[in-house]
Amino acid sequence: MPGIVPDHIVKTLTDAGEIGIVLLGGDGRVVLWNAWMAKASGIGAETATGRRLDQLFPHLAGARVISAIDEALKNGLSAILSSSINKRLFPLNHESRVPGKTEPMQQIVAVKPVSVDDGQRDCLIQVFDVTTMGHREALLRQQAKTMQALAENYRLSELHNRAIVDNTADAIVTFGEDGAIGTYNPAAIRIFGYDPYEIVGKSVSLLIPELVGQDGAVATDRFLDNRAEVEGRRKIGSTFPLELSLNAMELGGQRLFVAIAHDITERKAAEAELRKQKEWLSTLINAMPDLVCFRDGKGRWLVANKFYLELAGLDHVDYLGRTSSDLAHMSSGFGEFLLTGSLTDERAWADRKPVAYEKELPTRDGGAKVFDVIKIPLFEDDGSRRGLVMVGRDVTERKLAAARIHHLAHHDSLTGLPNRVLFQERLRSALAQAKRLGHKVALLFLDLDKFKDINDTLGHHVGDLLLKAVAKRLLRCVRESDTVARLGGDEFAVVLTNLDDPEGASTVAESIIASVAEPFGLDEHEVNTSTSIGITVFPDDAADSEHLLKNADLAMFRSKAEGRNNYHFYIAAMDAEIQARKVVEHDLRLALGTDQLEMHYQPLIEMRTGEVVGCEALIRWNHPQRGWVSPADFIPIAERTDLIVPLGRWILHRSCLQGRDWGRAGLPPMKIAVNLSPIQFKNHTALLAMVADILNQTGFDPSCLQLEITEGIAMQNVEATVDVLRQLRDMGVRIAIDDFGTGYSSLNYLKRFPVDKLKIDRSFVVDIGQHPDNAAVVTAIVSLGHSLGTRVNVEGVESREQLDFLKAQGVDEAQGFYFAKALPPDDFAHFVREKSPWPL
Amino acid sequence: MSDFLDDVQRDAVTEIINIAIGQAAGALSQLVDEEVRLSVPLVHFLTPDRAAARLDEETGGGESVAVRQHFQGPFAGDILLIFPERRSLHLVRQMLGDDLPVDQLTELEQEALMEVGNIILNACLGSLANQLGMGVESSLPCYVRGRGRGILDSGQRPGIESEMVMFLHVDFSVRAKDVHGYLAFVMDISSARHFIDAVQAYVTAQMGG
Repeated sequence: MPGIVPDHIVKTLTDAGEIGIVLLGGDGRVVLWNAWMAKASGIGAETATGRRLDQLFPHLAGARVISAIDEALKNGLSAILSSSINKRLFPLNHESRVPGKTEPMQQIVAVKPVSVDDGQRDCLIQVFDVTTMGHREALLRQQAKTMQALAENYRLSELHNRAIVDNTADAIVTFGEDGAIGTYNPAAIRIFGYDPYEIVGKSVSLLIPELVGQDGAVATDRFLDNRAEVEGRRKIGSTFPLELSLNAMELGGQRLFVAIAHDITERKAAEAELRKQKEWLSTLINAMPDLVCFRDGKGRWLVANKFYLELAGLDHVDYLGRTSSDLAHMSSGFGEFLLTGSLTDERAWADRKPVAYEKELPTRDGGAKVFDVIKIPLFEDDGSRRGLVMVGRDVTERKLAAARIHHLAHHDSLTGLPNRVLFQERLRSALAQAKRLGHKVALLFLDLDKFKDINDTLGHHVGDLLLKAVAKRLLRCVRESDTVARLGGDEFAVVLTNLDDPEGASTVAESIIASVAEPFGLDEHEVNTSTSIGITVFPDDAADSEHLLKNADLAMFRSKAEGRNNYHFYIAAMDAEIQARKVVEHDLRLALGTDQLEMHYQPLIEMRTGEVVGCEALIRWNHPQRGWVSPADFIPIAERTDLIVPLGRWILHRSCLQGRDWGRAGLPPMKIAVNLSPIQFKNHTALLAMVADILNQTGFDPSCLQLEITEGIAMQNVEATVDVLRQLRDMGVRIAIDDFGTGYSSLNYLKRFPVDKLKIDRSFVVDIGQHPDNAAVVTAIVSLGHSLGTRVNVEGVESREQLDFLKAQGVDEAQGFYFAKALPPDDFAHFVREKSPWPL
Repeated sequence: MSDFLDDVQRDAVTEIINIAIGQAAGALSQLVDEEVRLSVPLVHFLTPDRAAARLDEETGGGESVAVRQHFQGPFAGDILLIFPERRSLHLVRQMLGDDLPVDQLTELEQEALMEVGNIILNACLGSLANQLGMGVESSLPCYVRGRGRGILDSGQRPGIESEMVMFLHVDFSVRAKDVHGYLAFVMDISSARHFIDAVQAYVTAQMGG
């Protein structure tokens, strides 16, 4: 180029350029290296000039840029090279926007042969900085990739949505504001029955009439964002329930609705079925007179029946989903009951089995009901709590009945006192407690003296009133902690607990005796009675209840034996007495029918003439070891056993035989008085049969037989007694009333009795001299007897004075030691022959 | 124009072009450090109209991109490497190892395509010149985009009716992917005659040798 443009101009121009310009000579050496190049490469023009590029940039050896330069110089071929393809281009720096910071330059290099005049070729190299462009493209690339990823996502999402729309079981129908259907998915075909070509473009009201109003415009507002049940209409015209979700969207400035409709025919049917079942169930549980409540695993209420709600004060409370403690605050006054239940809930959960217990609940009317409650825990498969079923049965009535039965079983209905069963329980527990604490217990047995007589004379009604009154008085005599029981009849027992010494028992006994001795006012009657008490003390007398009972009985018997109206402590000797009595009974049984038993006869003197007119037959027992045994010792024993029956018969039989034999032996007819035991008299039929039988067997004159009954017997059952006595009289037998004056004979009754003779009790005779009262009684009885038309007899005459007095009183007959004691038969016959008539 | 070359000449051209293409493949392989195979099954001499029609036919009437280089020497004209647009994207992005989701070549990609084209075209020209024993110079490549006629017409030469086009299929196989492209020599009649003369001379020399 020299010659055309001066060199300095060339230099100025190239240095001004915004590209790299390098001119290589035909030998490949740098001729021109512009300023841009110098700056980018850091190699100054003065350094570069004259050197080959592979010298300036040794690492370019073998790179394409070098061969491209060769091609240009040798063959005149142009080349273009870019950093994107060539790994090795010029090591140039790009100055970045941040001053002072550089980075490797991305470049495009154009290699161009340049012809010079002499046919030689030079090579022009131009370097373009495309670093910025590279950055821009990298950014673009990044954005494009992001876009692509988004597009891919969108595409997948579209596929996904399409799959859902096509495969969902719900009908998906889109429609515009005019109601015209836009899209219609496969499920919609199935549900409504229309094919898309039949329905698309037509009004959605064909499918769901409610979506279009009267005016033909869509009526979507009430369905938007609000799930609703609507009626669907199938192509065949039938209707069915749908659950509709409706959404609105803007698409191209148009409003578009998407209706998703779920066919709920089956669900509705299931719901109806469930409702029906629920109705059954709730009717059932509400009809139950039991408490019923279901709770979930967290204690929240699911179901409670009416009975429960009413009882718990929760009627009209929305209990569903609340816990018992929530409800406790809402209950009208029964919160306490709701709260306490949670303890048993926890127990059922912890034990993993039903818990049953009894619970007393207050009722609104102020009463209380008792429930048998059972709580059954339910568990999930994994063992967690699923729910709890609580049922409570009202057992109030049953409990009351049971309590009544228990009371009846343990109490005496007349007095309300504990009966024998409860008494024994109380005694046992009192003993157990005393044993632990080292105390003493006293057991008192008591009965009312001559209660039978009261019953007989005043009637059972009064007897019952007396028992009740006595019960009350007994209770007043003891402490609250003590037990008073009625064991039966007129027998009572008292258990005194926590005694320090037996003295306490005697104090109580005395107070009882005094209390019972006070007259009782019963139904206008003033009744007097007394009691006999036996006392035994634990552990002094016995260690168990059985022995204590026996001891108390013995002690009471002793009190009775010793004149009644008193008390005795048990002493060991009483046992011996019992033993003795047992021996007597045994021996008497053996003696019966043997000559150990004999009849003796006490003469009976006619007071007017002094003649022996008869006798009283009295039994004597000549015991082989013990000698003569008094009737007072063995008759009561016989009466307490069945022995009295054969013994009584034997006595009567023997007496009648004797009377007959005396007659045969030439004695004047003798009236023989025979005592009847109360026991014998009890069985009227047997008595009448026996008397008739014996009279028949012996041939003894009935008019000579005098049967003696005590005043007590006579008054026991007046009507029956009158009847029996009349029958005996009909047989010809005479009747006497023994021990007259000691009982409570009502004159009214006495008047009705067919009685031939009254025998004044010997107690009135004994001290006639000393007691004017007794004399008055005797006078009165004589007068009474005579006015009733009976004869009057006395017994126990022991002195002339007595005899004279009695004679003066007009007594008809007398007997006693003054005349003779009871004599053996032969002696009696002798007495009659020798001493009759007695000189009066 | 089939009478433009006789069979022997046609075979010679095909052979010469194949060798040239072989050179180009070698150059390309060097660049991308991987084997690149190129083959040219057929060579046609066509009028520009026919060539444009053929190109549209081959590309389905779609847009094509081309790298065009002017060459001069005993005969002169333009040499073009043409790809249907999508193929060009494919080729360049294969070579750059970067798949960009953009439908057109970016500027840098255009540059890269130009370089690829430049390598192939230079190799072709160089090999042709060498075999035919003459000097052919090339100018810098340029990037063209358009349909048949627009691609082939440089707009610089006087009348397209006076030109002829040597049209070749080029099958590329880069990174185990096949890419089809076309190679077109666009020369005026006198240049074409010079070219054929040179081929004839080559044939004669070959037969003589």
